[in-house]
Amino acid sequence: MAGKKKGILKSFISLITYKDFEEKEPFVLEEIEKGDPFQKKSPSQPSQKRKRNEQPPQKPPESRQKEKQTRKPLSVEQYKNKREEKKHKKTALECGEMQPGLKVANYLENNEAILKDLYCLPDNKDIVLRPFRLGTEQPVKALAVYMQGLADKQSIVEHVIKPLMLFAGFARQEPADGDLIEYIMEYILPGQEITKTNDFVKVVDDINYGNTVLFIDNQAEAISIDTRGWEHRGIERPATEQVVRGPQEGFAEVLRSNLALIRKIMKNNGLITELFQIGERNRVYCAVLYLNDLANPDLVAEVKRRVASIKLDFLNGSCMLEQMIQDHPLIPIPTILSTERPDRVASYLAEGKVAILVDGSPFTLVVPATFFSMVHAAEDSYYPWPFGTFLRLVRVVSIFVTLLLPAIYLAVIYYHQEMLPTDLLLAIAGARERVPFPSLVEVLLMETSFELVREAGVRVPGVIGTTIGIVGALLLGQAAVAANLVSPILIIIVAVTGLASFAIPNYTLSFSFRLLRFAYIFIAVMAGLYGVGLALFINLVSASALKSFGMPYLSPVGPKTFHGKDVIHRMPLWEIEKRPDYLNPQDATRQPKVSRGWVNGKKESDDA
Amino acid sequence: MEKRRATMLKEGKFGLSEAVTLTTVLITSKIFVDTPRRILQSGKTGAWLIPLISMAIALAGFLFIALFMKRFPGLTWVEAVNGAAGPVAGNAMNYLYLAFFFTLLSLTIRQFGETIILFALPYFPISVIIFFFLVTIIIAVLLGLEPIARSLFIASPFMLAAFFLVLLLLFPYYNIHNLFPLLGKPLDIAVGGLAGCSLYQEILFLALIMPVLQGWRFFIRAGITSIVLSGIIYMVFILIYLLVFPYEVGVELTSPYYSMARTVYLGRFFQRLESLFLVIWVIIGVGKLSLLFYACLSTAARIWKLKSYKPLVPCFTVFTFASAMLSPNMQVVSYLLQHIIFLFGGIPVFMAPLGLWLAALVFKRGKTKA
Repeated sequence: MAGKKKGILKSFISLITYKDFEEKEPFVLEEIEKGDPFQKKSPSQPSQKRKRNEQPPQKPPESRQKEKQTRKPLSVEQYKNKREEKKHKKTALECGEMQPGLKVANYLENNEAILKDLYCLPDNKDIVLRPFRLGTEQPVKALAVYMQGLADKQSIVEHVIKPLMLFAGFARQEPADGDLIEYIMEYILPGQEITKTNDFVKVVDDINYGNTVLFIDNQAEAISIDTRGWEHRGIERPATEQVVRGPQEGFAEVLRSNLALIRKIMKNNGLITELFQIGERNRVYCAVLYLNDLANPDLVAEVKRRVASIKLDFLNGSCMLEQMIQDHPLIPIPTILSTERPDRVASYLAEGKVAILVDGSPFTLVVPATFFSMVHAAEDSYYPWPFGTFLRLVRVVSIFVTLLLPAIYLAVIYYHQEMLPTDLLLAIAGARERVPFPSLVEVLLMETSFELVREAGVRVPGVIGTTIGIVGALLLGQAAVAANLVSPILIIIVAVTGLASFAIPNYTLSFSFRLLRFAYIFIAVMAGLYGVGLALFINLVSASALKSFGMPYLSPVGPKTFHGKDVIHRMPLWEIEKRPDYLNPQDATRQPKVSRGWVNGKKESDDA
Repeated sequence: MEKRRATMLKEGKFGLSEAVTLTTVLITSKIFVDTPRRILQSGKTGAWLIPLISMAIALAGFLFIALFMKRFPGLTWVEAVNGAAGPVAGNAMNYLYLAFFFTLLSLTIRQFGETIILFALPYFPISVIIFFFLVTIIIAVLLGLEPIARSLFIASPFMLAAFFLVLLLLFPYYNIHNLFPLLGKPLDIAVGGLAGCSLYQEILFLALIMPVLQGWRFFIRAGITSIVLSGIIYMVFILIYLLVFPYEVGVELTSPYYSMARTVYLGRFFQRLESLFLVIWVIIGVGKLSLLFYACLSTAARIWKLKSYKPLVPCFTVFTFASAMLSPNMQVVSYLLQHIIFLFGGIPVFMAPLGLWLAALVFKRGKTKA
């Protein structure tokens, strides 16, 4: 603390006093010293930086130049020698470090040494190196490497080790053209997804993803076999987007299963999945999905450009990716739609939008998103059009209620009492008579309590969570009224506001309205309905300025474009003949003008 | 001919619907202050004819604006004036137009503020009301013209619904006898109609944002549609106003729309709805003020050939606040609006383009061939 104070004091003095210019140490790139390319600076070592007042050590420029040397990829032999040299002085920081451009070595021992170095063996207990010999006439040394818990043991035994040890010699006596790797891949290994590689980056990625990598002596390539089989949650009902009619499947955490769920609905050979790896530390796979013959190529290119450009240390789920790729991350309004329903993703793909999935996340991102798509729910299209339209109107009303009801209440109480009918005014005044707080405190008290109940209900385990909700709603409200802390009418207002916020189908949008509600409360207290009107205008203008992947957020209303008859009102299914214009899809037509062929058509019996 | 170019401000693009909404809001928002009372004063019981007569005059005037703008394709009003009148006279005229927009802005902001105090927030100081207005306007203008246009277009169904709902809810109070004598004093109506073309003076805004519109034909369509739509709205409102309040009462009311909203009484519960409509009314008002502020900024930026109007925002904010506070009370603001803007507003908007167009024809300036 004293040191910190001294630092602040010193900085302050340096700010207000003049100091003679002191020659600064020239900036020198920190490069590996020539003598030991593997020696890395330990954090515990004394810093090489000199204090300002110290004189830099005098060295002739030539010697300094000689000390500089750029790091170059080493051959495996050099690597092995160096490793032997530094065996005794290895530090914990050095293991796990990947040499750029490191290739698979010809000799098994070298590869084993590299792997041990990369995975910090024997300290690391998760990685398994299983040496064995191929069951050929001349036994050849081999090594299977996999990650415990990520790879399926049954698959490894049945599809990798057993065929190689027992049946390697049965297929043919001599490998084709002397290429043992090709021979094994073609004749021996029965696994579904097998690739060969000579790049250690790929080897490590595959091992970390649950594959088993096979090294064979005298072969400068490795075989990667798909043996992924980690524990995961199964397909369950979506937790936040439940429907009465329609499919009951939701995404889980496994990328491949999620992709399969979408493909199960969208059986189309034009559905393209492109994979990207993000995260310097955890190397997570992201999939970009689109219909090749439908999605706007510029949109697809933009999505891929943004996803590929992400340089993040640790990516955990689509929510983090969403923050990294959205257009306006500082404005608390979601401009990317996230859903956990495969049917919804498939329907958006069929509109020409692009989906982004992240391994380990049950939420899929859909871009571009409009405000109106946030008001839509999966269920809308499963109901006949009047019901779907009605549900959407209910949601629009709920948006206004959740945003404005407490603010309007406060504005009326503070400034516009004349707009209330006399009976209602007297009822409110009577209820408020015994409450000692101003209305603003009342509202803040109840809103904060409601937020507490909601947050607690989410955090505590399932059964207790429900109980907390009931206890919070009944006891807290009742007790607050009985204790004359709040008026009964306020309980109704806060409860209706809370209900309305639950009716908004998009959780993130609901969250942003919850935040904005507090802003409206304060502006209503400051300037009544006049302030509410001004705040609404600012809100509207700022929402109009938003974009989602280059597309205006309030499309197709602002700017007005062809909307495809599916914005708030939803026309009958056969009327929705065109795709929305704002997406600029390659094919604008959804269905022909007469999509119900049986209407005005001939019956088979007529022909007979 | 020296090739002129419009100063490239980042204004975006928008369609016909947004352009029509912008100008219609600019023109018709005067309904919410004392303009209908002034029209009633001019035309007596036949005042509902004034918007129609002035609409015809405004359409003719807009034709001159359009013909003038056609000679300077791709340019805004500021550059076109410079092109027709030469750099010295052109700049002088542009400064006059800047003064015109600025006067309109400062008087309107004060008038709107005073009306709000009068009907909704009686204990608020006018400086606070104007300060809140200015904060909102600054945010909107910094976000750009395109979002303002889109917002007003999105809000337009709600505005129209609220506007006509009040007129509809007053149905029990309609008295057809209030309209007679139907033509009032025809001479007064003719004079009022002539002066009333200033009701549509904000149509000039379209010429200021010419690069945003998609060509000259688009400009013509947007202008004519806005004038006709605004004329119909004015006529319907004044007709209903006359139906509800007799002429003698109508000329006494400070804010006709507010008084009408206050009159609504449908049983014990549905009464005194004016505060609820205040929200819609504020949105329209602040929309108009944002556009007028934008008109000032863009005119100034083009006169001084700036690439962005944003550096001008702070100083114009201070000027607007100061000038809005100059008038001692609402009566002075109302007097200035009636005797300067309402009476002579048509001259710089509809008469000057005729002169400029003739000057361009005589001196063969601008595009001479189709």
